[in-house]
Amino acid sequence: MEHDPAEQRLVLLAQRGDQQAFGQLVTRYEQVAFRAAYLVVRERATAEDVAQEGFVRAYQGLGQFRPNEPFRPWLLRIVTNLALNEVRARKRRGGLLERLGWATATSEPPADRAALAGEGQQELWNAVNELGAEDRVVLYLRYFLELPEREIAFAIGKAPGTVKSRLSRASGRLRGVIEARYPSLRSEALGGGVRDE
Amino acid sequence: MNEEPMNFEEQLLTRAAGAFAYPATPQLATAVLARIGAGVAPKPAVGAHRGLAPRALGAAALVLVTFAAVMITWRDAREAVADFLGLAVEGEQIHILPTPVPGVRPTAFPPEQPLDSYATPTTLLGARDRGGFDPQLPVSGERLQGIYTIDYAGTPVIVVDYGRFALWQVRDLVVDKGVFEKSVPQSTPTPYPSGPGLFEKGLFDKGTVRLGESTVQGRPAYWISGGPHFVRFIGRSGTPVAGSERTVSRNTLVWRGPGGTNYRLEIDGTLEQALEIANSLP
Repeated sequence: MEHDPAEQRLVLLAQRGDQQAFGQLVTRYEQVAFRAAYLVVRERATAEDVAQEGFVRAYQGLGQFRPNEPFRPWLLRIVTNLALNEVRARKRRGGLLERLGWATATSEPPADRAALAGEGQQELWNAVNELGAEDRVVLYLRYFLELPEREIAFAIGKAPGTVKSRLSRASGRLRGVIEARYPSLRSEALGGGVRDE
Repeated sequence: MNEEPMNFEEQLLTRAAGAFAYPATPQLATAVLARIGAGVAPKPAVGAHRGLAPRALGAAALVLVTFAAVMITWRDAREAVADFLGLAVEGEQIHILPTPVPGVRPTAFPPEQPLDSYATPTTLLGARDRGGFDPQLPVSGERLQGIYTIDYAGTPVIVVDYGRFALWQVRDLVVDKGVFEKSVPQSTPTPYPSGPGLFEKGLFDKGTVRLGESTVQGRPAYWISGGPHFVRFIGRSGTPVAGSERTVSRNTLVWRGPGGTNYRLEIDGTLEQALEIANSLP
């Protein structure tokens, strides 16, 4: 994996307690951290909280981080775990409120329609929401955040050799959901000349 | 990204990703650095303590694994954990961690973070300005050592620190207690591995931690003693206040006082000493 000497230096300084160096790491990766959180929690304010908490916990855990490893996927692992925890907590709360007759539980956070460009995207988003958390995260990391497979491996804490098969399984499950529930999406994609298997 | 021809779902994802409109990225550095606080260094690397650390870690892991096995197989233990769940005063939840599930390796309980590592020192006037209410000072033989404020994503908290104890105060966290009864499942299966800094699958020692009920000025209160535990604030919407989770290694008395103020007294002392302090508040 390519290694960024500047990043390595910042990490080393931060590990020695240089908070300004860590601040530079925050500035460098705040966008990808926020976006990763937003993709999972789908609320701007919550995503900001999650990203901020992710950086704080990354700082607290720097002693366990090896500087010769890439910082970004390590950070994203923390952030996506926090975001998933938030979604799970929200789901539990929603279920309880529903049992009490106070609210209708939603299995997933509502998609932020402002972020979606049209009906087709909304349907795709609905389809993605029907996947399990691991599948969703691996798809977000790959297609939305465009991480290379080796960084995805770091981010999800799995061996690099398993990422390709995980991506394949996740996209396969998405394909199944689309074909069963949103067939118009498939037609739309095929209309664009995409290979069908 | 991929030289192989894309399936239709991959094509859809790529297209959606390109058109996805993220909100503007907030500038996080200032807030993160403020929370990290001055003079606090990251925890040292495990490898920095060669000799003692591996053995200590091994012993800790053995204890945790043994404890996890007991919790998994011993039904009474699981039910004892369940007895803890959902106990809270309005606006403040005592969060006892879920029972680990088979195949999930528990992580170590996070240590308590020192107050000055994330709270901002201030004065009484400053606390009132930032908190939006007058902080209450208990009557005790102890000398006030510091006043702090913490902003948990817009929810201000005031802490008055007397060394042997610290009194946390927060307003308007109005939550129906019933909402949280049994709101935390006995086990929370998670397919996701825990990462550095996470402690979702941490454990507390049921053999030493005790939870008791009491009253402060006639109002319900809970007393947690004997070992580390989590506490956190619950906001008006019924959701935990982001970042307010805290490991407390001292004993804790929580109650809801008059005027919608929630109190959390963290103390090196007995319940009687805690009640004396709590009952001295106006």
